[in-house]
Amino acid sequence: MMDKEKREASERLFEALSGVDPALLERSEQQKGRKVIPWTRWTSVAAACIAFLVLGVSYIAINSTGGGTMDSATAPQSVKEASSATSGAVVQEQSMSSSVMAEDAIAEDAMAVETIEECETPAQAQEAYEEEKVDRDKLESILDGAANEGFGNVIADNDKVLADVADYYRQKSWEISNIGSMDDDLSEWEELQSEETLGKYLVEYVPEGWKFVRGFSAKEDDGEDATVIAICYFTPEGEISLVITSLAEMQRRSAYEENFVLKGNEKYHRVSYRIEEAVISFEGNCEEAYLQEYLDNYVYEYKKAQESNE
Amino acid sequence: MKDTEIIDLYWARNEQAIVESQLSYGKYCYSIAIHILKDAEDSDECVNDTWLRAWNSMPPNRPDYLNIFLGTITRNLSFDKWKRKNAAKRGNGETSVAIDELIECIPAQNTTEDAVEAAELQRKINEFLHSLPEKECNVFLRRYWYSDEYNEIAKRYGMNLNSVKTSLFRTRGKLRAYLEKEGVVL
Repeated sequence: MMDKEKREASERLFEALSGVDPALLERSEQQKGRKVIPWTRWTSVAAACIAFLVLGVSYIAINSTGGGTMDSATAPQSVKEASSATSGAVVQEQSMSSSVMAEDAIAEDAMAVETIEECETPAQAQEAYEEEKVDRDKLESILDGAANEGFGNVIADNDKVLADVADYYRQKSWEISNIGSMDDDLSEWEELQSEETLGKYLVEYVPEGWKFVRGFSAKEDDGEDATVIAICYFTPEGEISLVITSLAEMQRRSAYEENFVLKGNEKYHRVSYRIEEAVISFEGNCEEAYLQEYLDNYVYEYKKAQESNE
Repeated sequence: MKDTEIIDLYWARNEQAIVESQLSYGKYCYSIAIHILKDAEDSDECVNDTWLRAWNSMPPNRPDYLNIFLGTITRNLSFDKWKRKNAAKRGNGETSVAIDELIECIPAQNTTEDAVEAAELQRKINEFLHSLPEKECNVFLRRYWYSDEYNEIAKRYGMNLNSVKTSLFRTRGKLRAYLEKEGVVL
């Protein structure tokens, strides 16, 4: 076809579009997407966060090396040892992870002091502190174990976790159809949203302080033709609530949610959906089997340990 | 004023209908015209002609969506004007670019011997659009009905510029395949 003819044909097509269903046009008028945050804005927010972090680390380091606020004359020897160990760690590493550890240690010491204050004699106080410390050490070791399996390192090494999750599902002979994280690239988040299967389950607005970890859909390769969608977040401590789009809200009613405290104030929040032929289906065993399989990996162990501690 | 009230004014042959249309949808229609014509004076002219065309169409028409009804009139008038202006000289405005892109959708020749009438083509296009996912359909319409620019579409739907381009590229490919499958010759 000659260019001129093609162009005329194209014009006819353009003209024919005048007869488009008004309902479709009306829909295109109504729908608005979420606002794209300009890169200047989120980089400035990130810069501010880093500045706060640096100030926080400096403050902790100065307090720890300067003797801190703890009364050294009245604090038990073991508490002092823990405190000095903490300050040593901060001075040595000067990193984000060490500052978190330092904060944890200080919080633990404060809790220990509170417990000890409730005791009547110094011997009881020492015993109570030791007991509490053993429990905490045990919990910490479980957490470390979970972290070694790749789960607790999400913030530090998100790519690795994404790869781990992909591997995990591949081993389970599931077919990963999509996997990604908002942290990697905002455009990837948008691509996830534009995924026909996955996109409609992703929330548009995440409450302040929440951090999207990953979203993926996995197709079971067991002849059931069922798809599991999981959307995962880290959350700060507090009420778990999501403002989500109406479509997602509709699906969420049939979804199940899981919350796990990982470390300090961090919580892991997962919303999972199981769909069969685009219809949400949560029929007992299937859901349970999936949940069990997922939890077997690492999180379930932690949850059980936490319950036994209580 | 509500759409139904404006339509009632048209049906009552009350000239206030034009004033109300201008107030409610003047900017909307102008936006459609200016995207096609890229000329303020011509766009104003098309919008004014829109009210006259609407006056002659209602009655007997009683549109469900007055904005789309008026917008379609504006689009047709603007496109006619654009064709007249560009009969000799090509290459002005976003419409020209949009039309060039639609060349990709033209099926190969001689897939069918039947000539397809405009109404049939419209029906098939509607069928095709209804088969698309909502977002993809919206993006396509914003580009080829409203002649919106890529960045306007990206902003409207909170998408990346590249995502918009990719979406349109895929949809054009799908439309081409669909029209070929349906044996449509343009």
